[in-house]
Amino acid sequence: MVQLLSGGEIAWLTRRQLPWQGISPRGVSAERNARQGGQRNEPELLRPYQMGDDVRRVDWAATQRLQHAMVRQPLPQSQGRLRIVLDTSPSMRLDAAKWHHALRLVAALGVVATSHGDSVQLCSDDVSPPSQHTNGWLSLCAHVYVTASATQAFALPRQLPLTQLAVWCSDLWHADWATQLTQFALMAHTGSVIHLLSASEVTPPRYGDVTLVDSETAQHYTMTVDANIQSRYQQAFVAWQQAIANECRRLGLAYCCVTTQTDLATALHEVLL
Amino acid sequence: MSFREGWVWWIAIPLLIAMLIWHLLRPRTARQVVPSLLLWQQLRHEQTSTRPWHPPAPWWLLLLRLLIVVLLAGAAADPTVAAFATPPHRIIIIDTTASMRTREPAGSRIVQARQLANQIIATSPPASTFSLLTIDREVTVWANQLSDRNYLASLIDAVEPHAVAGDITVLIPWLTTLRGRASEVFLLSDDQQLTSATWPADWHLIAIGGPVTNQSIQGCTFAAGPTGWQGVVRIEADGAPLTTPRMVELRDAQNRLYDATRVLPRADAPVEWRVQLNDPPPLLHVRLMPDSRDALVSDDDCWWQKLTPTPLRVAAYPRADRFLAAALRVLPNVEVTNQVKTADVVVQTDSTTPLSVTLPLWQLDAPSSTPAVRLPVFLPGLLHGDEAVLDRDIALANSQVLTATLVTPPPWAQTWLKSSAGVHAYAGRNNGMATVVFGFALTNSDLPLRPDFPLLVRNILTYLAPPRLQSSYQTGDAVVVALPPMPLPMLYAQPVGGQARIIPRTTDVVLVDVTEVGAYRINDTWVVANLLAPAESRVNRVTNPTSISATPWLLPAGIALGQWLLVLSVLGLCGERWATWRGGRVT
Repeated sequence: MVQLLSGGEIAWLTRRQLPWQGISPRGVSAERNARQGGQRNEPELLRPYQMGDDVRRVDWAATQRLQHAMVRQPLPQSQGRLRIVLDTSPSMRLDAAKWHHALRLVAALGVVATSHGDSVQLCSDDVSPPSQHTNGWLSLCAHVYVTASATQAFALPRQLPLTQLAVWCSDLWHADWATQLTQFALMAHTGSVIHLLSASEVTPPRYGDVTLVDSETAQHYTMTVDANIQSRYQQAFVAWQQAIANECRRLGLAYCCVTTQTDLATALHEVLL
Repeated sequence: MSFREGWVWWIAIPLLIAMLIWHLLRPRTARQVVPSLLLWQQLRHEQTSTRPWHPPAPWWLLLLRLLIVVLLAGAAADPTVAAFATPPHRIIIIDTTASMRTREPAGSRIVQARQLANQIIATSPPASTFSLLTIDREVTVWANQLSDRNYLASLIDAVEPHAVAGDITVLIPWLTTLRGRASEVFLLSDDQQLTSATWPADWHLIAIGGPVTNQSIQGCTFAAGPTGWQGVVRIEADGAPLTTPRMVELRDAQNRLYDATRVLPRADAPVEWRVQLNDPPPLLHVRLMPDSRDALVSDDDCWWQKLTPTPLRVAAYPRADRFLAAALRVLPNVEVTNQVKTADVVVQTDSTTPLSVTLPLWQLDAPSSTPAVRLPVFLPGLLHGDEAVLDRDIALANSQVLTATLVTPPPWAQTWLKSSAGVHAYAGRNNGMATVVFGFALTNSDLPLRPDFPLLVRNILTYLAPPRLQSSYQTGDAVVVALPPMPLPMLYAQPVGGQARIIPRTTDVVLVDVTEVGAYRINDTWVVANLLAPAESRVNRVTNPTSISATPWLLPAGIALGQWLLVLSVLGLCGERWATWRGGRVT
């Protein structure tokens, strides 16, 4: 099995927090309500009494209301839901380093979430069930890293319930990237876009006389990539990246651009901010 | 210009054509898969056409590449000036003046020079050619562009210093004619003037021995005085004054000592030694004995019998002998004078003693008191050896003589003219001195009236004072070339190297341009032109030279053209790579 993250990286990631973890207002009020014996709307806080349970954890009000001994289950500090959308289009798979870097980012975000009791859901070729365990999440990422389809065109999953936080890791090499950003913004209360690019996509080499082939549409384009074209490409790239950032800002999405030369800690810091 | 490795162009030219076709044909572009054409298509780049050929873009890049190939091929072909290849040529000049006999702890200087010359030859490249020259008062070419090292070694071993004080200064103009040639010159000399002169940087001046000081006897005069022979020997030091005296000796041809003295030669004022001899030999040799610390002195000028100068000055006696004077004047290179000086050739036709002449070389009167013979009938002579030149082109047997005396030939003489009564003329060398004795006066014969009389005088003068100078030419002189029956184009070698072509015509005289300084060669004949100094006219070509060959085309700074082409091609290649990288072109 492919090991996307090392043990040291996992240990380091468990000390990181998602934006709502530790400082979530919902988590603080729930804990205060629990101490004051107030109403708890979350059914997962109660469960039937079982042998061996501490009697001090019996919720007597619920027991009286439900006529069954109910105990109060101590819950983790946070219990949010994270949805990660991974672009598996051929452009993401063209550069092995880029694909590996994307899976490492995805796996790292999931580790941060599961280590604090949050559930994480991966949407790649298929929509996986929410995972709350770190090991299971890493196995899922490794499985996707190997088995993801390299020829299938990417499409955002539709008709998914609204989630608390959604992260989209993509290179956005789609002609309808603006439309897809709009669709992604409707997935969660909070959305974040990781614009992952390889170094050659930022500064293409001087290919000379070359026939360029689109990795997704297989379209050909013959041209001479010299210093002039290279400079003009970089100007177009900056304009394109700026347009994506503006669109994200308009949709209320967080945007960060990460290249394959960016190390994991820096990239994760950019995402978590 | 030609190329030693011309076959390189057979590779370069197809390569140039292939490069041109390669640029005209459309190259197959490389395929490069990119994530998306989203941005590339926004660049609105002008797409290339589908034609199978296209003009080279940029055109100067193609030109630069073609130029690089041409430069590389030119450098590899090794351009030369002339049409034939040649190995390196080294000129070895050995000083053979008397000072080279000086003995030193490492051996005599000539031995050191020989060892150095052999070492130069041994360390030269295998295909090298050598010229061997010796210089003293003359320049002698022992070998010219030879590659046989064994023969060169034998020539070097045969080089001996002459017993003359070197007058190197007159040789410097001759040596300067070698400047500018693509030859390597090694000058082995102990002469301070040569070693201190400014020579080209590529000349190797190898000083042998320490400081050299020649001593020479500048002149000696002898005169017959009332009580015998009186002589004055003038001795002068060429270089610095000597600190110790030297021994001066008088010896005859058999090396017998007649007199000796000790003198202290000085450079500014010559030392004169007055000698009084009662019965001197015909030839007397004055020798300045060298010290072990000195170079050997010259003894060329110390024979009290001077050699005939040029032109030959002949004094005819008596003055009334107009027949003899007229005959002498028609001879080339002869000046007739009435003033008797030392070393003049005196033609004496009667018994009158002309003034105080030292000794006539040509004694025409018969020192005999025997009765004269009237109208003798001469028999053909029997001269042989060196004396055979006296009978060349003439026939004295039918000449008429009114009265003639009988003479007795000494043992060293041969009978020239004789009749039934006895011998009337003889010739021979008396202790090395040529002597001709007639038993009759020319005015008593019909010889001056005969058409071959000038030939008789020429033969006698040639026998008594053989000509020493060789024929020479001055700048601008016309050299007549003897044409074969079927004239063919001929090549003649010029002093500066290279060859010029002569296209002779059967009816005209062909004139060859000899305006350049140096030695010319036409077929197997050497001609020396523009002789700035007397020594130049005595250039003796000993061996037949090899053909004039090519030399590398040297540009300023002494770098060959091929090396320049290589450097330019490398620079061009760097520029082409930079332009290619700058334009992102891979073709």
